[in-house]
Amino acid sequence: MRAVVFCAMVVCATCSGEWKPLATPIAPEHRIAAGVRVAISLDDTAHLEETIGVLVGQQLDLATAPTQVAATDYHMGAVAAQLPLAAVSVVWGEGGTATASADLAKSVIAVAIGRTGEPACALGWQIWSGSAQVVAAARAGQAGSVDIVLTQPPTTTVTFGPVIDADQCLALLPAGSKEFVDAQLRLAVQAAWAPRLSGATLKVLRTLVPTSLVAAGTTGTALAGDPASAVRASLGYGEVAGASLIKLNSKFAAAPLQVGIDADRHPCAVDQPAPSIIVAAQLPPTVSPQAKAVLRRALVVDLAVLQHAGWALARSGGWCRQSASPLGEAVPSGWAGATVTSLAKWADDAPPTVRMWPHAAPELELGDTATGPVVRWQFADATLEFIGVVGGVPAMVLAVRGKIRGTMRPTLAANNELLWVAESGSVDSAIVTSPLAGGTVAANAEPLGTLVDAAVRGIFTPAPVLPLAALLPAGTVATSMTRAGDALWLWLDGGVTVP
Amino acid sequence: MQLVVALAVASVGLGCSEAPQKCAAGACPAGYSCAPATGKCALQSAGAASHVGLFGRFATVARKGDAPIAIGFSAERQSLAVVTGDVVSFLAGPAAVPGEAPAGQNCAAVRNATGQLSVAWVRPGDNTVWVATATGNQWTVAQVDPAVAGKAAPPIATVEQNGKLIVAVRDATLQSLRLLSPLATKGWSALDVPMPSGPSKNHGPSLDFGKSFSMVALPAGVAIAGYDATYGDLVLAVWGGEEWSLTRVAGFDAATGLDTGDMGAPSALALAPNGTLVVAYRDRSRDTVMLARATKGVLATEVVTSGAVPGPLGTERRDLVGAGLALALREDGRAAVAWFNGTSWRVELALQRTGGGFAKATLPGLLAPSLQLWPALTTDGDGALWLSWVENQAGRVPAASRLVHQAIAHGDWR
Repeated sequence: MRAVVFCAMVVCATCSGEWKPLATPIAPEHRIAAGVRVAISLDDTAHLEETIGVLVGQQLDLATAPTQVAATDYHMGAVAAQLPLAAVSVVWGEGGTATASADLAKSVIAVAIGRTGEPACALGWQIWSGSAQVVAAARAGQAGSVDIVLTQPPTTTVTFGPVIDADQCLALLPAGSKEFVDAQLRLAVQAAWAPRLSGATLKVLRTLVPTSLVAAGTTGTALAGDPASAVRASLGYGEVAGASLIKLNSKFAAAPLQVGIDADRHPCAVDQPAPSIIVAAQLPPTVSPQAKAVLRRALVVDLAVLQHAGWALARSGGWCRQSASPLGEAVPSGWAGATVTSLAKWADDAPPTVRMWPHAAPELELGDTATGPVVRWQFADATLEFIGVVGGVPAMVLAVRGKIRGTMRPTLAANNELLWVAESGSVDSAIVTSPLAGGTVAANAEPLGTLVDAAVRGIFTPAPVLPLAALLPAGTVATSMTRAGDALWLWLDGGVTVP
Repeated sequence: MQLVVALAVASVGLGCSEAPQKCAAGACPAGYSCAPATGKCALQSAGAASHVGLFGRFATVARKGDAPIAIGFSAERQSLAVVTGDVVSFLAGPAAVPGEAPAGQNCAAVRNATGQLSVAWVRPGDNTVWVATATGNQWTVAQVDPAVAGKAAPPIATVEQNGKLIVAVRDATLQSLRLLSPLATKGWSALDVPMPSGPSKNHGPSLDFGKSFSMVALPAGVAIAGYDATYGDLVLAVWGGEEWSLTRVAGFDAATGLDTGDMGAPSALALAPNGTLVVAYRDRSRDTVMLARATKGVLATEVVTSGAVPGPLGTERRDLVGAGLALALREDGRAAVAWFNGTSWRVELALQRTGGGFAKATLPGLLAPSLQLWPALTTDGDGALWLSWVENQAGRVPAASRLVHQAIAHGDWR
């Protein structure tokens, strides 16, 4: 009865929805500017350069057709050469531009010039230096989209000249022949070189700042089949059309995205205002993963987005959750009697199911553990209802009301799925009641703790899934997650097809 | 057989303890008196009252002009008990056969046109099916051929169809429903209940298959409302004597094939005098109790109760309504639906109005604070309805439970 589908960047196991334009835009107070950033560490520039180099190729294939030397009866023969590339460099500019330069290694091009019916003059043209440069930028397009463009025409500079003239025949050629060959070869290099470098640079930039991250909007339901649990979300590059998207600081080149999230109020939800939106102005220092990467970048999700998503999920009823199945082995046999002695003879030994009813807005924060980042949440006031089996029928055996806390670990799985695995739960200031006792009962602390822990994990089992594949270029792999400052860093790699 | 004074019988209208003036007017069950201070019916001498503490789901069969006979599990005696007024008979378990293992947690009963009572049950431990038939005060107990019954598992239902007893059980091995009926000569026959192929919801086989079903006799066969846990759907299977007619009543949209929720566990099926099949069922996805009528192949459904109740801070929460269900019909086809509210531990009742919709009533507790469980509805020979439940007092042990019957007066049903 349940489907695990993507829903509005929100932790959601029973929701449904699809990206499509919203009927009405999300109100400004529910939009989070720079809530998500695509960040490229300047420390990873070498990887970037290497990737562009691979895309350009290790050598430049030069080919020209036979050409008549201007105003003479001499012909320059067809040229077919492979020019090795020396290096590629990338420099991020203050205006958010990426300047990619590629150099040619020294090499010699064989050239033949002659007249029809006569032996040709065999020459060697030495490339002393060659360099191409393109300047590209990511600019805001219409409706939050992105345009990847060259900000100026590519430039190519080549210095070369004849070095091999075994027959001393160059001097015998018509005047201007050397200049003619220079010009022909320069044109040939330009024609072969600039598009290659431009194409590679634009391709890389399109992968780093992809249009696929633009999602005009989605309307879904946090609770399956319950239209009252509507959640809406949108994602886009939130700049004025034409503005540069990439911002530069001393550590990162980053493209901010605007996240919009809101929800209708479900009857089960407390009517609470949305949390304040405070997004860090700058990305905090962090360290890139050590592993070699093709196109490493990170999706940096600010805590404000998680807090707003948590609020929207609560408002839509998504936290009014019931465990999909009994809590299982986590709860010992005889759980009711172990927790409240007087209930021992009522409930069957079968493990209970559990329902949660929040009476407050959720509070979320990021934390670190030895094995990675976690999201800690709490409701200052919530009730957990434990439903056991009594004489063959399900019935609420006891209820625990208090400050309910939980920890969820974002975990990467296959197919770029981000699982939100509930790791633990606890309760403070618990008041335990049971209809069987007619009111408040005294609970045994340790079994109660075990029960609440199992309950919090149980209501998020199976783990809610955020499929990222639809938002990332094909071939992108989410490699790891870290936390820096008040943000989750989802490190990505790949997503560009190399020859 | 041991005789035990059993229960409190309330032959009053729904308003018994709702209004002090009714209480004061003497409308309290036998064994209870009106407490002037509270205006509620109170036990006259709780300590002196002996009782059979039926615990768990039980069956009822009508008695003309009197409270129904209740058949269920006596927690005190760990045995299958038949409670007729203040007379109790034990059919299985240690109270019936010394040394026998506890029995009676899963039973069904039917009374035929001549008044003969039959009780069927699944014996825990060896998963065998047993049937007892009363002739006067004598009971004949027999085991259904296990080669025919298979490895039976609860629940169990039984009806009398044209003089023939039919027992429905779940086959624990095959995860299917099976009808058992005695042959004219000797032995039993079996007929498996097919389930319609369902829309793919990517669910694996469920061990909950058929864990809830209900059955009624038709003029030429039987009808079963069963829970298909594989799909979370309520299925209506009608045996016309020669072939099955299968319909997915709830849980998916026949037009679109879309999943509409987890529905049908439990259900309660009844046959209206005009031949219409009526089924009450729980919608687990929405915590509602629904009623569907199948009239000439056309289904009409309506909400009996939503389970929505006010929560703190202006919120709304859902009670676990319908975890136990009972259904009975008037002569005009209107339905009475009773259910166990698993959150409040109270039995609630809704009566279908003449003009449509349901009027809901929370039954007064005879013990305070009351726990009311396992509602059962019976139509007696005069057409009157009896609602039965097991009641206990909060804070007491299960063995202190007592059985309560209440007649639903015509005046309460408009």
